[in-house]
Amino acid sequence: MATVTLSSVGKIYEGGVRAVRGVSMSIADGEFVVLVGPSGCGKSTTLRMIAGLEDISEGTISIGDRVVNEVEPADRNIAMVFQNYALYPHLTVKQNLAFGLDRRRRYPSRLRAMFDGDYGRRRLEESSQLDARIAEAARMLGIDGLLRRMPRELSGGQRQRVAVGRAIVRNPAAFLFDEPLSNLDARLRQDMRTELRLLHRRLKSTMIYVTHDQEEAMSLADRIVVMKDGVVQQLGTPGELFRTPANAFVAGFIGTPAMNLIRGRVGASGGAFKWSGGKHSLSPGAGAAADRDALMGVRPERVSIEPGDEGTLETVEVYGETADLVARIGDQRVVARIQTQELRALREGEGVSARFADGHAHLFDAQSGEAIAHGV
Amino acid sequence: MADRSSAHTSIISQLPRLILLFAAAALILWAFVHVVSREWSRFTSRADTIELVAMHWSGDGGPAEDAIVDDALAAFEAVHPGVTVRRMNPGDAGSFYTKLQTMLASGEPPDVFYVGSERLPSFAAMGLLMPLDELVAADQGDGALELSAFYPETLRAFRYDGSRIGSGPLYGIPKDFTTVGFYYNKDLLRRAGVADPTDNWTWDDFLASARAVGQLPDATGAEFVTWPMMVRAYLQSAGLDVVGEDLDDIRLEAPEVMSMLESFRGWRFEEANTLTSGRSKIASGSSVFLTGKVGFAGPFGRWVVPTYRNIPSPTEGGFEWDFAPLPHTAGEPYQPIAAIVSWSVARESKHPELAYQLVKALTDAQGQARMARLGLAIPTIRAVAESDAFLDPTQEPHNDAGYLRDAASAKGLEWPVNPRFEQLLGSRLDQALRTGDQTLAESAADFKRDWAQESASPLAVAQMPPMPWRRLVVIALVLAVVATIAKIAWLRGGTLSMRQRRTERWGFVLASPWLVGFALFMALPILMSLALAFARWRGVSTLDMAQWAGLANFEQILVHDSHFRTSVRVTLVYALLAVPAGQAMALLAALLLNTKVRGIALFRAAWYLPSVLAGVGVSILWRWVFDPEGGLANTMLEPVLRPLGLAPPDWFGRDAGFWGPPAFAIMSLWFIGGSMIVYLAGLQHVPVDVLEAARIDGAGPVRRFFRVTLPLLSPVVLFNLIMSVIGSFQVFTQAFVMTGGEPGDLTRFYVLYLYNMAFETYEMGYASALAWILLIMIMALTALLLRTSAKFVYYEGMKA
Amino acid sequence: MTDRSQQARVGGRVFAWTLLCVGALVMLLPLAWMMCVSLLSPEKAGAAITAGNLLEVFPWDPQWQNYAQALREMGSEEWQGFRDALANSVVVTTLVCAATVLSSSLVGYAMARIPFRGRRTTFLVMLGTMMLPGQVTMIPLFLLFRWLGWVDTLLPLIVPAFFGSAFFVFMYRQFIAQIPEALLEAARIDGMGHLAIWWRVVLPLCQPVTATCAVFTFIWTWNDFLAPLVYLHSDSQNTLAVALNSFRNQYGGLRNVHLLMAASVVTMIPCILLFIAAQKHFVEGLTRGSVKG
Repeated sequence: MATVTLSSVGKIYEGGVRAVRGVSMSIADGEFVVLVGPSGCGKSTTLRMIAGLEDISEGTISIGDRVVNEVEPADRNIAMVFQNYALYPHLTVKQNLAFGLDRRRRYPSRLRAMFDGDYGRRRLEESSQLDARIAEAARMLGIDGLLRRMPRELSGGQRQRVAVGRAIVRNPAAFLFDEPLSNLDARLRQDMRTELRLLHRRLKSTMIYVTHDQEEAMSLADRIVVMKDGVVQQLGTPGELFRTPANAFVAGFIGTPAMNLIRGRVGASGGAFKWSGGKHSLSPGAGAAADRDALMGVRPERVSIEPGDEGTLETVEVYGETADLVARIGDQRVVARIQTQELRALREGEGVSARFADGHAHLFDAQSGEAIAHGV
Repeated sequence: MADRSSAHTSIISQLPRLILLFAAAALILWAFVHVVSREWSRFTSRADTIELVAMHWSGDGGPAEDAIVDDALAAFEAVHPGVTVRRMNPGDAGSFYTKLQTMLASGEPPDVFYVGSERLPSFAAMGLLMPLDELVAADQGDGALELSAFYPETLRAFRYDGSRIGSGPLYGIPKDFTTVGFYYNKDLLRRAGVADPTDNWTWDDFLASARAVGQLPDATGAEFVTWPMMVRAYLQSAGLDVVGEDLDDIRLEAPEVMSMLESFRGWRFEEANTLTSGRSKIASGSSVFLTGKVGFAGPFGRWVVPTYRNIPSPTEGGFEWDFAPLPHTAGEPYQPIAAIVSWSVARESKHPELAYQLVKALTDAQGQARMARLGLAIPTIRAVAESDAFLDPTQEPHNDAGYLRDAASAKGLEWPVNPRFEQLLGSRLDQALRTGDQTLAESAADFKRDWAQESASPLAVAQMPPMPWRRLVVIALVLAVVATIAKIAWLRGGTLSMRQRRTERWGFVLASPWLVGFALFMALPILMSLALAFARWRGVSTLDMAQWAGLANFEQILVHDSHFRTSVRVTLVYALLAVPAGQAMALLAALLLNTKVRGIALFRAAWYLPSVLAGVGVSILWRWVFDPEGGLANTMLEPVLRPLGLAPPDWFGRDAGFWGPPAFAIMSLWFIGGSMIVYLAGLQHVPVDVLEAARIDGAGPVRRFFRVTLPLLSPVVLFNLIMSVIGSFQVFTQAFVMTGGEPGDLTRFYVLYLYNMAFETYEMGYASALAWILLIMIMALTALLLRTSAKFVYYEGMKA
Repeated sequence: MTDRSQQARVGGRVFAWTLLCVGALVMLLPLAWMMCVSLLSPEKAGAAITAGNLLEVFPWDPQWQNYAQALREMGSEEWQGFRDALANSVVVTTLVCAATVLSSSLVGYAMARIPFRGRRTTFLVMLGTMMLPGQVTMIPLFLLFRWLGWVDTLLPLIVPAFFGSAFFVFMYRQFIAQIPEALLEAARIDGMGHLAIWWRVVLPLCQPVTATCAVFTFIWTWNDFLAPLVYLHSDSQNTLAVALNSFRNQYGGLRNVHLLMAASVVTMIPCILLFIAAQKHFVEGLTRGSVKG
């Protein structure tokens, strides 16, 4: 169990390509942190630097109190679960689970033990301990029936469980997950997500998890780190990210369907937002944004689309309980999420206008995208 | 998938595999115990005895000759306690000289060894042999060597004064010798109504008898070999020769010589069945006589006798035979020839006195008598030759006295010191007299030109400074040290993290086996051979006798050497045929073997098997396939070509100029297994979905192959192409075993020529230069292929 | 689908079968000939070879004692020559195979997976050495081994194998380059150094290449003729190939062709057995290029 601290960590590849810059964060002992972002945002690189698989070009990474920049992965006391499972294809499930453990008994100590006199007994003890740990991990993951199989005889989900099991038996200071669920189908992914969450609750160890799927991030994380172009955009709990996104990128990235970001201008007094679909009045908190171009963010749940003449209804997507209405208003597209029963008689192609609920808009600077005000 | 099912198969089906495994393990265990215990005893017994090494070859005597030498050595060891003699026998004379050459070159020659009289001048000229006169003079008292007991001519053949044989120091004690003549099949002669030849017969007698035998059904008059030595014997029987008294005086084109050879040509090519065709290489030489279908075979020496003694008597299905000395031309003076072999002592021997004693023991009357009983040769001690040991009336041949007709007057043939003379003469005469693909005039002119080239070469005449070995070593060392320091400095510099440095160190450590191996077994020898390419060095001498030749080797090769050009042409023709045909066949085979047919694994094995068996044995096999008389190829072609009015080619004989390289190309198709497997591997990587997509797009199988499979396969094609081009430039074993480059140079592949220069002529410097030119050619071709490959090779995310 | 395409498919299959059979026949015919001749009596063998009639070669009356005779007469003492040659060949081949596999895979791993400066150059040089005709280095190598005092021991045949062979390093490198990176990373996180990764992960995964490498090395070493001829002097140190050649020189004539063929067949048997036993892995090793979990 350990904290993991990154301070001003950067990665420059040969040829000068910067993959990560200035990442600082402190991950508490037992915390579940998810790194999320679109592909190529540097989240995996960051994780691999923590694992020791990539060199750290700038800054320092510490695990516990120890700076690990120059420490080999083997000596960082971490475990990692890979996207493609990385099971050793020539070993059985049990051997796969035992692999790291076996190796940890370093040769010198083994040699010394041989001269101890009770080498046989100790080996026996060791191996029974090892067996117990494997059995426990296997039971925890429900793979105890598969221990003698070869990896190629397992399904994707089973392989993933073995990969997780291999990390568990090691009892590491921190678990690292590199997109572990992205090769599974949707249903299985859902189940595994729940299980990982439960696992975290049971093990109470530090977990760092990389994914490109914000929903996965939201459902798993104690805290989320959103990254883009190698830079941390925001670090916070799922709630914070959802309620107070630090910038337009985070706002658009977190939440399904994505938040509407509408180009327009805040009036001189800060009381209203003018856009191609008309005018939306803002609460007093928006004063800081007065008289400038801005992006107004509104979650689709807070949008209503009614018959009108400001634009046309492009599509209606029904998902059972809920439905999404996509309207084109002026040159902008607005999405509204409604209860299906409220759908009424709206048809595709009809004239509509959009209304936003009061007090639920976010304002972002039009140029930098930085948040100006929330809940206005 | 597959493993799972095999894990569940019963133990019974695994049984053969288990037995095989067990047998292999037992064999390996036994072998290790055997070798280790043998080496251990060799190591411990080495203690403080003096070891001499005696090396010889065995001709047709086979193991019997080994046994006789062993006896003599055992007797010697008994008289000289504390001395052991190790006997070595690399096989035939060819292997013997190759072996001897490497040992001499390394400065660790055997103490005593056979030397044939024909090689004496070149060995003596290079100072490899110890003059024995002082030792003989010092050898007094009981059991002293009595030179007067020997046939004088056999001793004269081992005296060499630096330019001619016959005078000067004595370089060997002749152990035995032979005169030459014809062996005849008494039964055939009787059937043809011809009298047995007398010791005094003439060529006219020979011809009449041979013609008469040739009239018999299913019989040929004579097998008359055209080895250079025997051609000279033939000429000398009429008082003529290919060289004059002065060895540089080439007399080949003299009218009387030409007419003598021309009549020989006439016997072979203008008369049916007087002489064998000379075309078959399997059924040629002394073994033809064994078939009982030729009247005469020769000229051979006594050496065939041990083999011929195995011919069953007429009652057991064999025939009676005997020997007649070489005929001569009526009324002309003649000079009989002899082939003489001595035991000689290496100049480098550490125990010259003992070595001399050993030679004496090996050539003493007792040993000679034993050797004589074996039938192999004539003893050089006159008294032994004229005793019953040699004139053994109980065994064939009955005319032992026939060998002695010329024993006193026969002389060892003297050859120019440059061994190329005999090689060139042999290959040119072959074309005129054996296969008949050149006229005599052409051959003579070719030979004259060859020899002129050889003699005019800057290498043959100029005096050159000694090789500056010390300077070269110093330069190499300095360069190595500088390079190492520069490399280390370069590695020290740079902006790498600690961990990267650590990783890098591991990289070097793990790659070090190859890096060290490269430095030791590649870089060092390569540098050395590079140095040799600029040297004139006869391989039989020690390295410090090498001379600095500058670019002379390269100049000679590129400007003057017509054999080099021929060999390049032969190799190129072969490559142009074998590479495309082989690759096309391999690809076709791979396509065929990629189908999912029942038993495909067995087919794959069958198609691949020949490639597993490459080697000497297989080459012997293929020589038979292409044999013009009874070979598999022509047996099958004959019925096809006959109705069209065509005859199957004489692959390695008369038609070798055109059909020789193609024959090798055809043979190479048998070894497509390697390329085929690589293609098969490539085919299995062609993604099925792409092929299916093409199929849905309506592409037929042919189109699919050319538009989808082939482009996706192109990197594999390139790989195979490069490998097979390299392989086709390095053809050796086949050519060496099957044709030896003959007739003439028509199948002399580049590496074979290189080998000839290195290990038959011993021109190591010249051969090194040839090797480097080969390397440059191969690299240029590879570069060309790689350059042009960009146009046809399609890489799909292939890692470089 | 339709009758026509069904027919075409069956026709294609029959055609393929026919071609396969004819090809296999052509490939195996000379071998069969060799085995047949080895079982003929001396008279028949001589006659069969010159007669040019394939049918005459068939051993209606197989002379199995040809084999005993051929092996007995190999070398100067009865059986001893064969025993020594066999033991030497087995020892050399076993050690060379093991050493080549170990060293080539180790170097191949470094070349494929451990970045070090100069790796690319090293690799190119390595490819270059594959083009080098062996004749170039032969004499200098002999001088080297003599200087080391190894001439007339089996060492010159065995020791170079411990330094890897360019061809197999290349094969291993290509194969190892395709092992998923994550697998090796997992091993590193599991606490393994490069040596342990090579021994416990890479080598087991390379099994198909190893089979290929071992079979090739076996065959080349077993059949190698020039090197033993040059480096070994004593009869007791001969390998089978050299012994076979001396045998050929002594028994090469028409009269002994049956013995020569028998001796040749004996030296080929291990290669054939090994090939059959390893056939599956061997072809797979060359055909399977990637490892998939």
